[in-house]
Order: sequence, then structure tokens, then C-alpha cells
Amino acid sequence: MEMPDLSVSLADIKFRNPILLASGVLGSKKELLNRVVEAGIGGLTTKSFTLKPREGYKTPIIAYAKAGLLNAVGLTNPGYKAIPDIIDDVKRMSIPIIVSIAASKPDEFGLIASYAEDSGADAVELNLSCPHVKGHGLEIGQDPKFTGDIVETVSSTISIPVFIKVGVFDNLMETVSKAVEKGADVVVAINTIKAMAIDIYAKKPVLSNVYGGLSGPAIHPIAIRVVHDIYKEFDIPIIGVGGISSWVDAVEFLLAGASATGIGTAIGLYGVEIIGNILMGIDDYMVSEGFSNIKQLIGYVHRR
Amino acid sequence: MSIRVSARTSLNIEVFQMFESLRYVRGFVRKVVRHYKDVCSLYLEADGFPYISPGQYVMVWLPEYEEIPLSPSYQSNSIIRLTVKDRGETTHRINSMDVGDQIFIRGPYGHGFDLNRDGEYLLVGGGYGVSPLIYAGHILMDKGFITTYIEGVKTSSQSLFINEAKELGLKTILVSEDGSSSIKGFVTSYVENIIDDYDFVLACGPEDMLIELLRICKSHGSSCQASVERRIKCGIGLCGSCALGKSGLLVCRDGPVFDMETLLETGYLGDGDA
Repeated sequence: MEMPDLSVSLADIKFRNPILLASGVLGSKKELLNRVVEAGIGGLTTKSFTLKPREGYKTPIIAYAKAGLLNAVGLTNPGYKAIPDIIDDVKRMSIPIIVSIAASKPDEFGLIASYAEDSGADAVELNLSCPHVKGHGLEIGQDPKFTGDIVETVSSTISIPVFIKVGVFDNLMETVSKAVEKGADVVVAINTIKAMAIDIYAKKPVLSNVYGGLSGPAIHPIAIRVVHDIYKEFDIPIIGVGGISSWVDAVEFLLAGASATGIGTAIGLYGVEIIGNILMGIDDYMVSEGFSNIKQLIGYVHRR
Repeated sequence: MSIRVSARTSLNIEVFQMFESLRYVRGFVRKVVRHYKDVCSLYLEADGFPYISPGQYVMVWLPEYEEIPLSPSYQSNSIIRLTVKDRGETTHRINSMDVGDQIFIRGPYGHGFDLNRDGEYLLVGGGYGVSPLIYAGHILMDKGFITTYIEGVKTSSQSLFINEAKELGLKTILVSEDGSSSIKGFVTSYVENIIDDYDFVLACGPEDMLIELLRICKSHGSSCQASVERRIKCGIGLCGSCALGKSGLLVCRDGPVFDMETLLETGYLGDGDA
């Protein structure tokens, strides 16, 4: 029997399969990215780069949550000047690389984006939704006009595709609408969700930063809902991210309308081996359900 | 195909088990032993904490201070012994703790020493790096393997577990840089003379010591496992802060104990991240 075709393209970037590394996990050291590529990943998203190097928060930077994980790493990264260092190595492996950017102003986003383009990035992802670093995330995404300004600045500065990473908030559709209008090419949904954990015996918040982002299986149904709704309302490719821990979750994203999916927490927790496992699972599923091309799955639930 | 499907189903469960390992267990300090000025051992009673194999580590959190990785120097049922050198705010606070104080721990994490191979073991520790080794000594004695315990110190009053190792019935050797014990010099020079008598070397200590020891082991064709120290922040392979040089390996998950071949192949030691 012929192997199903797992390749997808988003904004004219061709990925060998729809399983991408989500931003934030293992993505600031090229040696670690190499390992993810060897494990079969379809594409990579770097950890977010900022203008200046960031040490990140003091420990504890992670905390227990039911069926999930809370983190407040604090956008640890070596600063945007380190972008070429990571890209050069990945390029040799012919895997698309998306550079994630966290900033607080349109021109800052523009500057880093243009540096990423010059360094050979295939796309940039604007982190508009980090839930635990002030002025670098949620506040931006929740403001449709500000988001529009940022997307406009970036898309007029660079010629590679612009992805926007959004979180969960009430006026999300307004923000997406503005971003699409101003030239965003892909929506990546969702980021971690702002949350908090208290140890009842210590009687203190666990995270040194108090607030963190919730990831893992707990947020998966929320991410499915958001992907479903964006697909229904907009004609823009979506990367579904949030709580994938098996092939079943990845397939669910595709059916909801995602053209590709991002995995983060599960790769961190289980190891890179999970990538091959998910690919095999999708493969088996397509064979048993009679699909020959992965594109047939995308947005399947919306068909009448 | 059915085997592959079942393998994938269990994957989900393993991910959930990893989440469970993030829960803190509260430990109460039941006994404090002050070894010398800035090193102490706390005996924690932590009910329900899983078995920690020697060389594995736990994440230790003091509310209002930081969370740090420590490789216990002993565990028996609910009692866990942590041996801690004062070298920062958090470890300073740990060094001033009293009976009844509480500490929060999660884990255990990482790979410890392989103590299942039949043969004679040589345990080589430098400074407070002896912690996982004395624990390994306990387990090796239980298993009935012939074991020698070597501690390298600046001066003999800084020895941590030589007496405990003696009482356990291990052959013990204390090597001091200032000659205050019967053997003077660096622990590695001493090891070079006796290494051929042993099947397995287990090591933990300063990176310079490990580098020299690996060189010796390689030239003598000996087998060595070494515990490596890097900055572990999350403990579960998520943040990448403990990456081992250019190897792509994470100390928190792939280590902290590595076999000699891995360490020599990747050539990471002495990369300055320690």
C-alpha cells in the first residue's frame, strides 16, 4: 500500500509533515534543535528572541498543574544577535525554520524580523501572547489596533511570511481580523494560558514569578475550539498548538481546521521520541480511515 | 500494527506520569549533621517520596528562595539525606536549617549510576561530590559487590563520609592535598596507580577532576560513569538551560550520570558552563 502523503504547505513554505516544534521548548540551542530534526519534525519554531539577552526568572520556573504544566521561564534567550547562529545549522538540514520574536513596540518587532530575514529565516512568528512577561505578550494581543500596527510594520519591512501567535482572550477574533487585514500570513493558536499555582503546605505561590503559562493536555480542548472558530471565520492557514500528547490530539487539530500543529510540552516531558510516534499514528489513522493525503483532513469537521 | 498502536496508547500515560512527578512532597528536617563550616547533611522525612537511585537528583524548593537540584547522599524508606554546601542564598539558608523545618522536594529525575553489573567497583569523589557515591556505596554493599571508596579533599578535616564508608565495610582511602591524611596529593594521581584492579569506576566531583579521571580511565581501558553538574532549572527537559556543550544532551534528563564513552565522544567537558 502506498504511504499517505503527510506534506503540507503554509504561506508557500513546504513542510515534510504537519508536526512542528512549537516555540519555547528546546529552541534556543542549535544542538537541541538538531536532535528534534533527527527525530522527524516537519518544521521548527525557535524560542522567542528579544532585543536584549534575557536571563529569565529565578527558580522555580515550572509548577505542577492537573493534566498540565505551568511555566514562567521568563523569555530566556541570548538576544536577537544570536539568530544566525541557530539558523545556519538548521538550514543545512533543509527543514523550515520559523523565528519567534518577542518585543514591546512595532519598530522593535520590525528590527528583529528584518534581522531574522537576513539570517535566512523562512518565516517569523510574532509572539503576541506570552502570559508572564509584562509588556511582551498578552497586553499586545488583547489590543487589536496595536496588533494591527505591529503586523503592518513587520509585513512592510520583510518579505518572508509573518505568523502571529495568539493566546486566549475575549476579543481574540477582533485581533485576528485586524492582523489578517494588515498582512499576517498564518495564525498560530494558542499560546499558554495565564495561570497560577499555590502549594498548600508552603502556603505560597510556587512560581518565583507568581504567574505562569498553563500548557499540556489541560488546554487542548480550548485550543481546538479556538482553531475551529478561526477556521470558520477567516481564510488564513492555522497552526494548532496546545496540549498535544499523542497522535489523536494532532489529528483533532487537523480536523478542526489546522494545516499543521505545534508540539511543545510533550516533547519536553516525554522526549523527542514522541515525534515519530505521532507521525506513525497519523499514518495509521489515514490508512484506516481511507485518506491518502493529509490535506483531506484539514477542516474536515466544517464540511457539509 | 496492533503492537504499535498499544505502544502509542501508553505514551499518553507516560506524559501524565511526568506531570505527576512535578508535585512537591513536603519533607521535615529530622536531624542535622554539620560536617564542617559550610557543609551539612539534613535528614528529611518525606512520606511517600519514590525511590531515588544513587546518582539521580531531586529538585529542592525553599519557599521564598530558589529551587535547586541535589543528588541525595542516602535514602532509606521515607528518610532522604541531602548533603549541601553553602554556595549561594538558597544553600546558605539550607545550611542554617533546624530540626522541624520543612523543605519541598519533587522528583526523582534523571539517570543514576548503573550498579547492576557484576564486578569490583571503585568510587572516586571530590569535595561534596561524594554525596551520590556514598549512597551508591550503601547499595553496592547490599548487593554484595566489592567496593572501594576514595575521597579527595583539601584537608582531612573536610572529609564527609570516610567514617561512614568504613563502618559500612567498604575499603576506604582518604587523599588530601595538604598531606593531613596518610595519602597526600590529588585523588586522580592516586587512582592512576590502582585503577587496573577494578572493573567499574564511578565518579562525581569538580569538572577538572572528572576530565583527568576520564583521561586516566581511557588510557587504562577502564569503564567509568561520571556525574556531571550543569545549571538545572526545570528538571524535566523543558528549558534547555543544562545543555551539555554542543552534544545536544541535557544533563537533567540524559544525565546527570553519563558513561565515559558519551562524555569523551561529545567532548563537552570543560566547556565553561559549569
